[in-house]
Amino acid sequence: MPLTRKQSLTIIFSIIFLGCWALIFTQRYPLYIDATNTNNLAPSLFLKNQLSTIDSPLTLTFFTSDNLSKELNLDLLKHWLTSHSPAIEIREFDPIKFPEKADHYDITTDGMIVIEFKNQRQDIDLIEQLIINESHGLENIQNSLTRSIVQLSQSAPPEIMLIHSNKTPLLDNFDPMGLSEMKQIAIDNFINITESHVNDLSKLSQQYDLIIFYKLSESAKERMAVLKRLYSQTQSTVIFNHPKFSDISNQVLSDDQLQFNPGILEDHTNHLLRSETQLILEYTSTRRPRLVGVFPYSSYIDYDSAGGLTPLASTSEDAILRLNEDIIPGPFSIIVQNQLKTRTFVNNYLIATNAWLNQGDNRLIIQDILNAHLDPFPVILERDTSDDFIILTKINLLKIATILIFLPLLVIQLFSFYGHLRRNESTPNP
Amino acid sequence: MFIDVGNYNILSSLFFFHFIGSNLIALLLSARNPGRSLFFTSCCHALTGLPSFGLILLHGNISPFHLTLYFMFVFSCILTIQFLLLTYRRTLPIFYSLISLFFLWGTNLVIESIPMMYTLLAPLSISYHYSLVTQGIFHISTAIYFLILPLTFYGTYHATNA
Repeated sequence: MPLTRKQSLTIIFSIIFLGCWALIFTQRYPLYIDATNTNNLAPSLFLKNQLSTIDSPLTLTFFTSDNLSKELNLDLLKHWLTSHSPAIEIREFDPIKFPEKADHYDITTDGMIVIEFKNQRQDIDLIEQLIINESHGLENIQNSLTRSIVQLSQSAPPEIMLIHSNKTPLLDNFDPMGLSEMKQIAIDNFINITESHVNDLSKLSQQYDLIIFYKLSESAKERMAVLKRLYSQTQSTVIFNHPKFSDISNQVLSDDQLQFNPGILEDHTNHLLRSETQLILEYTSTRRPRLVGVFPYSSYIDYDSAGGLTPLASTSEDAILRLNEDIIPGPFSIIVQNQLKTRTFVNNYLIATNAWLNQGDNRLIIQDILNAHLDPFPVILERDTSDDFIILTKINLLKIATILIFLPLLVIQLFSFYGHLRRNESTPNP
Repeated sequence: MFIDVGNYNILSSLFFFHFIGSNLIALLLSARNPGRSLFFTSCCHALTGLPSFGLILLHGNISPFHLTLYFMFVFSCILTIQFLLLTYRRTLPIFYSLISLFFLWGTNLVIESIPMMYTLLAPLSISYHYSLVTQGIFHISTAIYFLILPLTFYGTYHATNA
């Protein structure tokens, strides 16, 4: 029976109403499939497992204006976050429209995410993430969020031991050569950091997640056996070497295919105005964004790249090393890391000091080195947004010719053959 | 195009021009006699973009599922255009269909200026789902939109002609 006009209109408006309601209603739920190649917005298995153990809600408060939210596509990020666990609660306030909320959280700028869990709090500055993130993609923010969630929800904080041969303690030293700022980085990242003089190594009893060998000097020679044992037994280590004492650090890592060198590098192009030995370098972080560090009085590292070691910071080709009468041209590697990110070698100790930590992106570099060793989660790599050129190799030429010429021709031939067959079938035989 | 520019990172602009081009061709092509035959012809027109997308696919910048999702969205829009043209076939079909498509796309001036309205109404606009689809996100609401959009205009056409 055909429908009357009234019945049709009723059905139509019911469909439209229900459809609109379903469209708006389903927005609340992270019911989506990531169809991209990278699967960056698919829920992270690691984070799901991590959050399955928590018993209290984890609250993320976004202080973002509508414009910034749309610009960064934060809706996708919120869907990604809520897809991990029902324990994640998301709230959103525009700091301009809700000044009382912003005051309550001591937020003064647009683009802040406050993460709270059991009276602990960590903030993520989206603008800072944008500045260091060339592609302006969500990946960098996803990594920062994952790290913060892991740091807040971990049962016990990671332990770092700093071993040095300085006469006085370094971590509570606020002098220019002290490491109090580095200690603050650890505290901000919910990491426990303690220090020990090389003479007190016998007192160490517990296992550490990371051991930092910092500026080992003459007094370390007597404790070499213990240092070597600690280095080989600890899974994760960072060495900040004083170029002058390269032979001592080299003794610690006698098994590695790597050597610290003592000669101080100079660069006539990329340096601070004060001195050509204060190098400006590009550092490739584990999350791909490039940082610019200031490395004073550095030397280089000789290593065998076949052993899986990759340079994280290298000088430009304009850098030189004066060796007696000879001048050796660059580039030179100053920071080298193994593929598993368990061993990092830095032929510079000054970048971690209070005096140099705030120069360039040194703070972010130190933070990145520490986090690379301690991050238990797989890092989401940023999209490569650089131009990608076709190199006209044989295989590429074959691909292009196949797609642009042969396949369309084949399709046309198949259709004409099919048409020909049909015509023959319909024509009666004489 | 790729050989001239030498660049595969043009997916977002290729999506945009292809989407606008496919819908415009569908609208102009089907204006006089919208129906099944011209729907398939318009879909075939849209598929002529496949060699370009195929090249990007082979290069690994897009997944086959992402490409399928995008074409599903394009076909859904082309189907909607057929029903729009059928609905308005008596008076200025191209003009009214174009106006309807502008509204469906979601005008930035009206919706985005009022945040509450945007939050509420954005999922009803083509631009919102276009943005999700081109980013490779297949949300349940997009799946509903694929069905609801042509169905709504099929219903409108049916109701106006009952």
